[in-house]
Amino acid sequence: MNFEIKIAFLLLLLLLSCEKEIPIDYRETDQHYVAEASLTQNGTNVRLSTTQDVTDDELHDHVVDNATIVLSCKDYEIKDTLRYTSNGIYTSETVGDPGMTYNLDIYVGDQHFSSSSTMQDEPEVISFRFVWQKMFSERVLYGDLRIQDDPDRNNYYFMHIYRNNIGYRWAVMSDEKNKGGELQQLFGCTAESKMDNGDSDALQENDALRIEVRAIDRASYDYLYSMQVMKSAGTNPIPNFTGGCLGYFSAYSYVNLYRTFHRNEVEEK
Amino acid sequence: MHATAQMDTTSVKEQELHEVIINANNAQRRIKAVQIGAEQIQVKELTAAPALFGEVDIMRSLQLLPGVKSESDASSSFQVRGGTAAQNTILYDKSPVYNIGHLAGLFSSFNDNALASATLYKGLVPAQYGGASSAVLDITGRTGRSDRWGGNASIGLISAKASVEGPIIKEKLGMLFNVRRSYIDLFMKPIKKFRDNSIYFFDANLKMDWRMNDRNKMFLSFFGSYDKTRLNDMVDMRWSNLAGSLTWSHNFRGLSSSQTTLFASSYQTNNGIHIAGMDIEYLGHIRHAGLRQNFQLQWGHHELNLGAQTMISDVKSAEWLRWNNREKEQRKGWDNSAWANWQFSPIRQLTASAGLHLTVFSALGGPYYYDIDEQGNITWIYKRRKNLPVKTHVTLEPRLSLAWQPLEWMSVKAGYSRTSQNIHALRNQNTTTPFDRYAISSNLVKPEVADQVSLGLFMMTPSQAYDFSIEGYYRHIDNVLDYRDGISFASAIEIERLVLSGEGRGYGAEFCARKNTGKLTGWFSYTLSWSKTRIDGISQGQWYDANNDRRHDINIVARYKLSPTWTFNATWIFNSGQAFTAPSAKYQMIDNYIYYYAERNGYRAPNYHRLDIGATWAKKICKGRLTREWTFGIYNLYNRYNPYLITFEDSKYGRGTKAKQYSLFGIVPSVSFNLKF
Repeated sequence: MNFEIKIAFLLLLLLLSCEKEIPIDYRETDQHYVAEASLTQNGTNVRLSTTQDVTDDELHDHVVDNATIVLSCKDYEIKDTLRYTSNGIYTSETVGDPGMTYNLDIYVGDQHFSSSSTMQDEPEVISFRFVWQKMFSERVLYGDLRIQDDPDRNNYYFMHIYRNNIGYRWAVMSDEKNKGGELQQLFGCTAESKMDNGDSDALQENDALRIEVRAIDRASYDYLYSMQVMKSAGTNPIPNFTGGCLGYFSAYSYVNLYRTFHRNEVEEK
Repeated sequence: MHATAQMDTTSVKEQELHEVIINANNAQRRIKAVQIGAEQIQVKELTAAPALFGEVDIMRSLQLLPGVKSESDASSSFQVRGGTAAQNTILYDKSPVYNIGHLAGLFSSFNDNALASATLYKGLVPAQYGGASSAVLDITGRTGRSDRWGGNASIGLISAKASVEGPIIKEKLGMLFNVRRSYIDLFMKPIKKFRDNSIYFFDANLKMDWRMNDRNKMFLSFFGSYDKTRLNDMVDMRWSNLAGSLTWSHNFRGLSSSQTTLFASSYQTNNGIHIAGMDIEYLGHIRHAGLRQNFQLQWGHHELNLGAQTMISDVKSAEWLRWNNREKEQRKGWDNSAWANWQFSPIRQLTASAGLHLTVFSALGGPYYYDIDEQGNITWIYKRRKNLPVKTHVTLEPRLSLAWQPLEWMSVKAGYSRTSQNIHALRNQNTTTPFDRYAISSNLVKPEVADQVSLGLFMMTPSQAYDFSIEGYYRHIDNVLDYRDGISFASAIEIERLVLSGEGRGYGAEFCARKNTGKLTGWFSYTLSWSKTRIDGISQGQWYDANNDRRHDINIVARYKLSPTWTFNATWIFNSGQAFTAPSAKYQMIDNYIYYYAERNGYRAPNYHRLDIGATWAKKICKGRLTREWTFGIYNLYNRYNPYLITFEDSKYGRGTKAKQYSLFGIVPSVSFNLKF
């Protein structure tokens, strides 16, 4: 519901008479490691990198290629060291089982970071459609995703839209809104005028879309939700790793929906 | 004194003499008054400041006083000595009111026509007051004329207002009624683009006074304000304030008196979002009803205030309707307080005011209460019988103020006070909005308790034409609340799970020089201040600059009465940059570059300054029965784009992080017309 705060500021933005760039004398800070780690029903993947200066204008990844990353599961007596491929990515063929808790340990230099995650059952997606919604004087395109929630436990979802294989929009949601019932997530895409003008962020005819819906655990949800709200609050996401590593480790099951975007199939609200 | 042959010179002279006396008495009062850190405000004096969009706003005028700051550009909310607006109590004829801003805080809900006076206690409050850990603003509504019927009507760029006042029964029963409404929405209707949108506000005040006999008077006061903002049928935001009080004032033989007040107030917010079949409703309210009794006993040079108050508070911190799921958190509290304050002069040049305020606040049973772990997860839920105390907090609050006046024109004052607050406002942003959540002290949330000390020197010239003051203060607050990292107001319905408590401190010095007489009057004030917060779990538990930390504040206010017809005024305001949080690094995560923040509020926004000017032309016509008044103003004369919001944006692929400053207003001219009869 940061939406409501955004609406309040949108109203204020209507009054804003000027925007301009201002110089900031950024202070230097220590570099931090960043891990984006996933364990799914298809394998294990960890991307390890470092933070970069705010003013860094160079287009290069700050990848880390000298880490030792170990995936383990006490109940299954699994201990698997991931192998480095390229571009900061470490992989393993180890797949996850719903209900099991997995630990991830990262050793780099003299530092050690660890996290754990419990894998969830596969989510049940009801539908995905695009709708027009009138905002002020023009129409705005929204993606409308519906999920059927499992009433037997607390559930958390991460939803990611890829456009032509590139990440486009994402959101996290818990089932607190409507436990055991139908959950809805809206994705604000673009204003119609921007589509007409061929804006690079606007969906275009025949765009290939993949909607990935993940069932994640509470710790992953807390991290991702806090990352979602942090922009307006100026705070960092809730730490998911011990030891000071940024990022998160999530064991999850997922489903994919595939769509091709056609403008004439967009429904009116 | 000035007069022109064409006017009713007698009434003009009396009016001007009245103004002169007020100003001169103000200087003497500032020297003599025992209560340090108190600003007594005559509405007529403060409404001389230039107005935004032609709207005279007492709250904006209040922000020109030393130690008082605006919450943000053009906001009507105010901050005192490092405290936030949420830590202030505003009383309107003894009823507490909240979120007193129209149009998201651009204008206050108080119609200047309805106000008589106000006293601002900057943290050092007499024992008769409580409920705020920062400042108390006690506003008294004006009573109507007792001699004849009169009123006024005015129209400005944003709103129109009217008032009528007079004796229903001459010298016995009088009334004053004010009403104001904005009309932006009326202009929006004919424009197709904005036809389905609506932005408007209105407020109304009614005060009746009944002089029962020489010793007894009754006052009935009512205040209401309402705001609505609607965007098509997508967004519908409304908030309102209602406050009423009935006061019986009795004068005993001699100078002693008694005031008995029955009061009630209600602040309500109701917001709806309807997009693509998704319906979300968010509601909240704070309601009070209470009875207050104060005795003011005077004998010789002694004055004793004895009193008590009991008040029931009903606070709905949030009620949401999302899909078919309705969640609500609503609690009741019973707030009882008693006080005794003794003002006396142990020796001729020394006046002391010593008092004690006792607050007993009980969170009441009925709804669920819970215990939580360190991460904010609920570990136990329980319920107590309805209206029985679940948790009671007792706070003893000593108050002391000393004024030593060795000479007629000079005094030295010192003071200490402890104050507590049991209704807590929480916000995700730095400004007041209808999405603020409120919590009461409970088993998990302790009262905010503030201790403040202050020392000051006050002087005036023998003619009272000038007076000066310099005052230093130090303030410490315990149990300050803030949202946990990564949490917003909507993260959970149980608000106590979302917050952490810590401590705050503020210290600084305020200097003020005033010119009180002559054609040119006004003042210069400078405030040097620090404001810090420390909360375990935020910023590694270290002290960090508070969101509202601003080092330097300068206000220059000038009023020039050229003639009985023309009055000019100008204000120049300067604030050094407010603290804000900027990213220290960035990294890739999911599809984007994410900012990493190494320190909270470690940076300063650009300085804020602006110049406002105004002119009022007033002329009596129809043999003095009517007064026409035109008011012209220019807000932000040199069109400086001051910072309101700072955001950070990246170019493609995370390159080139830029800081963008958004400003609220450039230069804003205004005009308004007022007719008094």
